Amino acid sequence: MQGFALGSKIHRVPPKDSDLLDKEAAKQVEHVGAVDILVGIPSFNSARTISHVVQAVSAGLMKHFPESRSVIVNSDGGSTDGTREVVASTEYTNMERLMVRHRLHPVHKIITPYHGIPGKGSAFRTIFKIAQLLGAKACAVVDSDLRSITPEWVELLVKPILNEGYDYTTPLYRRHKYDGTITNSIVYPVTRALYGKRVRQPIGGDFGFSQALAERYLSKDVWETNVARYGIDIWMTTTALAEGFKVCQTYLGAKIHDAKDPGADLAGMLMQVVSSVFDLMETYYSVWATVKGSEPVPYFGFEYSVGLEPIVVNTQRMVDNFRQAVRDLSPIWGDVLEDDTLTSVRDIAGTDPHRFPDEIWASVVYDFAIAYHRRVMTPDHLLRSLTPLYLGRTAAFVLDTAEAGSDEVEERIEALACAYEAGKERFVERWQVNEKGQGR
Amino acid sequence: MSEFLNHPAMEPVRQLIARALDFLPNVLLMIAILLVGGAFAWLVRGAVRWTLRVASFDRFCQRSGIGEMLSKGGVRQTPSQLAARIVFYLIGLVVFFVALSALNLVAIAELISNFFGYLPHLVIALVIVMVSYLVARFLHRSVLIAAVNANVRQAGLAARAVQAAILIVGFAVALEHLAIGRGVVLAAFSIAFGGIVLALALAFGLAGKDIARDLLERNVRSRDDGEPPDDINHI
Repeated sequence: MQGFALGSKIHRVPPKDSDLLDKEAAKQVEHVGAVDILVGIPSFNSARTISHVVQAVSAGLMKHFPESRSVIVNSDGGSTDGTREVVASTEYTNMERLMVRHRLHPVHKIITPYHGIPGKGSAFRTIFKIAQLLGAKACAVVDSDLRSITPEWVELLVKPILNEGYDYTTPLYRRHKYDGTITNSIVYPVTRALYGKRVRQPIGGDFGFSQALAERYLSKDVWETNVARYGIDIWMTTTALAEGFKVCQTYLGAKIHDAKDPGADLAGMLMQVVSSVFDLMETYYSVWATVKGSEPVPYFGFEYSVGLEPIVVNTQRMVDNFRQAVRDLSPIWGDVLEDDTLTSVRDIAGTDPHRFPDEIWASVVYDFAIAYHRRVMTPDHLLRSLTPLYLGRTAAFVLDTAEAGSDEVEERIEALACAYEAGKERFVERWQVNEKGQGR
Repeated sequence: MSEFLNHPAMEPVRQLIARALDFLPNVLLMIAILLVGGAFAWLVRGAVRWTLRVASFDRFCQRSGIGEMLSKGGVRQTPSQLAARIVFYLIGLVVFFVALSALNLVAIAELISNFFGYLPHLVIALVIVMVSYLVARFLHRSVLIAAVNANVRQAGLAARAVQAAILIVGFAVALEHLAIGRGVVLAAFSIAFGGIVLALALAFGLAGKDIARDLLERNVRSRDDGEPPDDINHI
């Protein structure tokens, strides 16, 4: 995720499908011809880390798919730190170390800038297009800032597609308990409650997908929305789930990536991800409205424990921000939250020690989804006003799990997911009231 | 009877009757215009109310803040009812003046001309006030949310200041457009803004320099300053 422009104000006209590749890229595609496997790496100013990622992917392709024609595609957002040059100069030649003797095909590389709105989604669109042109049977995408990627990731992401008949592979990681809090508190439980599939890392960033799914992605007209930015991950996962593609998970081990973009703005990031989740609710209402409960999603790989770097969290600052917001933003939330929910939120702000119960948090997110659906205010205002509530919930989660181990934390996340599932029936009823035009 | 009327002394009466008879068609025409125009205004009011209701105008007004503005102003009708009533009265007013013009009186013609000359200014002034209210409300919300997310302690004050400034400018422009107290408005602006700038300059540059700094540090400066950043990765 690192390095992509957040909420950039630059609005370029999205290119037509036929204009996605420039002449140089088209020439490279023509030179490569056709491949079996394609691995895409979107990047923006990732010169420090991308070499390791390219080496790991090259090694993975050589070791695990020696008889397949393969290509690495770097789709770059106009890096100024030499990212593309690093990709071009990076080779993995230690075949002996991999114990690979007979490599039939070279691993090709295509390095190209992407066009359109600056963001990860636009980078992926170019990768999908190249996959289509090369007729890749199986594809994978991995982030360019990964420090923990190994050659085995390629195998784990691609083999379920190539050999097991799946269309979409999502990652399973061992992450620090405070890593991926938007995923844990909103995206995972909402996706699970809506679509009934327990995809634990729906916005993990590292995915495998089939040719059919790449074609489906390319056929969608979403490249002017937040999907072109940080919304791409949840859009890919939801599209796969809602349109009936076969989805699985694969255990990749630890996810450690470079320090986050210092310019990243939480409110903007949250807005992009959550608006994508809410937009997808509109698109797939007929799919999720009838889903009840949830079921596990098959997974591959060998699960193991890993040591993770400690994370410093300033909970007091989060709580202060939440309490100030309760003071200042309550009139705005009054248009969004149901009376009971708003009362509960006010009670939370006035209580020590700070706690934010699962049921109330699920109600908050559902209320925001309904408000987004009813367009009670501009999406920008609505979703940015969610940020302090999210911080309040995150602080409570951090305080609550300060002494908890990873298994216990997973149990807490499971409990939250169950709270979302329990609240879904009422959510659907309220959504349907709006569908019938009765308003609130 | 006719002899009596033909008497020379009755000449003024004859003239009055003749003028009244000449004027009577105009009066009848005025009454007809009022009746037909009134019926037309009534029909249009119904049509406007129905169209706005079908087009969910009331919901739009609630979302955009116009509904809130009306309820704060003590208006108990729904926005669609109010709009229909405004249209009714506007048509009624136009019909009234058209009916008056049917009398063919010079003084009334001048009055009508003045009225129709001023009407666009009135409408534009109303639009300016409405738009400035909506912009002020929107920016109030934008500033408030952005300031809270940036941990600015006096977020509410900053948002209210922005809202008030825009409303003042909006009202001033509207009054300027109506040519009401042009000099007063200009002078009030010059004094108010000049005063604010001078006060700030004095606060920062002279005796209150330290106090102003302390005040800013306590109230405006972000709580994040000087604190270590989080390592937390939200996605």
